[in-house]
Amino acid sequence: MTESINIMRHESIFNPKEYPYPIHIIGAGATGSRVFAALVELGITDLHVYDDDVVEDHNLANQIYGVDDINEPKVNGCIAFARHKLGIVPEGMEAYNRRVTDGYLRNGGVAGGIVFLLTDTMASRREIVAGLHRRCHSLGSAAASAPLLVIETRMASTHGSIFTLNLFDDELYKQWRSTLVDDDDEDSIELSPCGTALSVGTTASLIANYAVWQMMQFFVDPVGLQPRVDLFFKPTLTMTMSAIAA
Amino acid sequence: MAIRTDQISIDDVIRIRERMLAPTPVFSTDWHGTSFSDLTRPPTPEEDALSRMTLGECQRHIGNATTQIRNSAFQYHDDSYHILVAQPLIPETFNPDSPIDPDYIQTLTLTLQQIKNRRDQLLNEQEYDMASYITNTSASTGTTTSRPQVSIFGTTAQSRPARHTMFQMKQNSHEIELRALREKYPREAFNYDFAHPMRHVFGDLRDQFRSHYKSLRRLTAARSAILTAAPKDRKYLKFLMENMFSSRDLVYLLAQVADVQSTRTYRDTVETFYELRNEKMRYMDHKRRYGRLQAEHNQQAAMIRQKPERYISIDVKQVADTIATWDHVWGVEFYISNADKAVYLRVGLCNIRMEESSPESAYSNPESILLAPFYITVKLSAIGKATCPTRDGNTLGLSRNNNPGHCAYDIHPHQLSDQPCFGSFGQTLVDQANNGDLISYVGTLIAFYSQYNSQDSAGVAAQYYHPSHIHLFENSESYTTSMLSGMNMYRQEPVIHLEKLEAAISAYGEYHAQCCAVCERIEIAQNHICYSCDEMSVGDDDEYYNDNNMNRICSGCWMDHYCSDCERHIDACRCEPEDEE
Repeated sequence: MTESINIMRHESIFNPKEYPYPIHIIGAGATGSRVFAALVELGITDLHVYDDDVVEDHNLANQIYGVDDINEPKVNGCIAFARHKLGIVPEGMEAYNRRVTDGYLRNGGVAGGIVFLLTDTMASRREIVAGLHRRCHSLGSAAASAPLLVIETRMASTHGSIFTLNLFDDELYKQWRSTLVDDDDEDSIELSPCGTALSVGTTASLIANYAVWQMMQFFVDPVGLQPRVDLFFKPTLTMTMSAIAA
Repeated sequence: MAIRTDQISIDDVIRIRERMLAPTPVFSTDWHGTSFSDLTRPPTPEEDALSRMTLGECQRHIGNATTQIRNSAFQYHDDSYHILVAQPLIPETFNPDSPIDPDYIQTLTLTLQQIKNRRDQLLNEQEYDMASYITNTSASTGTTTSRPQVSIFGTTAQSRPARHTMFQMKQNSHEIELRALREKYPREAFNYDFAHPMRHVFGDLRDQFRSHYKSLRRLTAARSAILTAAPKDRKYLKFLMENMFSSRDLVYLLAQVADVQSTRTYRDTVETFYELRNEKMRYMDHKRRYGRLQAEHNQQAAMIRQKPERYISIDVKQVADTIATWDHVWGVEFYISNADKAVYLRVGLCNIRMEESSPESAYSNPESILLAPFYITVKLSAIGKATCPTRDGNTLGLSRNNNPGHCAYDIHPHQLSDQPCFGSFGQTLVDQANNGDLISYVGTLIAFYSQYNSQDSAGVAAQYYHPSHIHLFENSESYTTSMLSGMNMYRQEPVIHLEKLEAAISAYGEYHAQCCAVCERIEIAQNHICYSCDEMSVGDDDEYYNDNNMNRICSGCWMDHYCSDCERHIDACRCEPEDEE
């Protein structure tokens, strides 16, 4: 396809051209892949997705990948989605088939912009956010690569949470750290038969889109941004909080 | 040189005769081209130089020659004009056997009339080109084009390759946005940097406290050693400690009965301790109240810093042409330096009248003060920073102090060093420079030069720019020449309104004479306020003291901050209060 098309009809609500910041999606699983899809549809092209996993057959139920993507890296599946959606892979859209570690962050990876933290373990969350938080307190080029916002989600089968972190705020960071549980705590984390966290596609979709809305809210009206939103679907209930933890 | 006829051969006679009969080989003013006879012989250096002279160069030479002739003793008689002509560097020049003089700069003597002829020739060529352009355009489109405005001191009429007039600049918009962002938050939110831990924030203060505390422990240990030492060892201890402690400490160490709390070391330690403690408490309080705001600010600031930088292209020629039309401008020149990555804009100003800008003037009779014509230079860098250098001929006008009666850079009370002190104009100028708005920048500069603030430490000297204080230039012609030379420094075809400049210089001379005749000097009103507190009246009828600089100090400040033996009581003062002596 060579003809240029414009798929956007939402510029009056959110025009991505006005916010020329890179968007990083760390983890392309149930929530991450859907966040990626939502951002592509929003018209954001400066997208960077990180994941070291491959698509398996059971991922098709709750992630955006298709049959053709099985046994392929998940990030390749994301790029294939963008190509299928837009006809091309926009310039600036990058896929990294790797795990984001503290060493990678120290070498300047995941620089600036908005970070969607959608990994599958608490330990990786703790490690990545600590590395990003360190940049907010440093000087020089490292400070310039500090993230503007970190959006992190937690998901169970019928409920989930979205955390919106301003890492320049030490108090908020401290509160967020207190919400992290141990990966081995089976009371807190629902596990699927294969041992990973249980997820339902519709729940993942709702949480992913709410997370993207948090990003849009941050750009359009940061004052109204809530640092924590809890969603319950059985029964339906939405709780927003002005602080992550009391 | 006389020629002896007996040495001339028949061939020489024939050659001379042919030359006499041939058309005069002067430089042709015929705009259709050089005559055939001229092509049969190599051109003379003068003709060669004239043939390569562009219209802009002609205009510059005519301007300079006119000025020189006016200033010379042989007014209106001597029309010879010496110019330096740069011969092109060609490979043969570097050959040792080449007949071409390697000294490629040579001086030629051209008459003013020759240069004028060359100028007319170029103008005619241009007119011819324009006429053919109009003819062609009319034939094809049916429209007509007006003839370009050409004048000696005009702004257009280029015959050489187009001059590079575009200047690309990176807008420093981040700085403007960051400042605007900072203004949204209360000032207290930035008293401390909450992004750093407290031990870093108060590191210096803590080190200071530790140092004082160490001194105090050392002092008390020494006192203890003296008190417990055997009487026979005591005099050796005294000798030892005289080299280790100050005389002030020795008073305490050697006294029979002494309280450590009365020593300065103790006092300094306690004061530093309380200061550190109070600062920490204030830090905690501010962090609780403003920590969230500062975090928000830092987040927004990071957003601004991560935005892509914007570039703009400035048509400096257009800027110069616009500025040249202003009333107070007698000349404009610019130069784009690739080496400095900056544009230099030189603006000649005239009829600038300084007005008092302070609501409460320090002068008993504040009045406007006319400044002699001068010029300034603006240097705008490619990263959106602008400076107004004054030295090295970048600013020139009637000097007040550096070179009385002649030109120097001290032309304004707020211009005493290599950069004018812009005061309240500073931020506006910074913003305009960041945006690359050169026209507004120059406009603000004119506003700046049109005022003085007598309440300012530098502006209070504005009275010395009044004609009753300042020396008039000794020679208006040489002053004009200095102005024109400065404006011609870049040799980039400046726009010069010579009549306006001459009229302004003449008007200033009359103004100066008139003011001197009236002889009303502006004087500073004596308010006699305490030099220390700037509040208490210390008039002749009030009680006051004089410090070493003969400033009047009120009795309260004298008791609190001064002592009779030193100039001013400061932290480093070595004097002891009288009760401790």
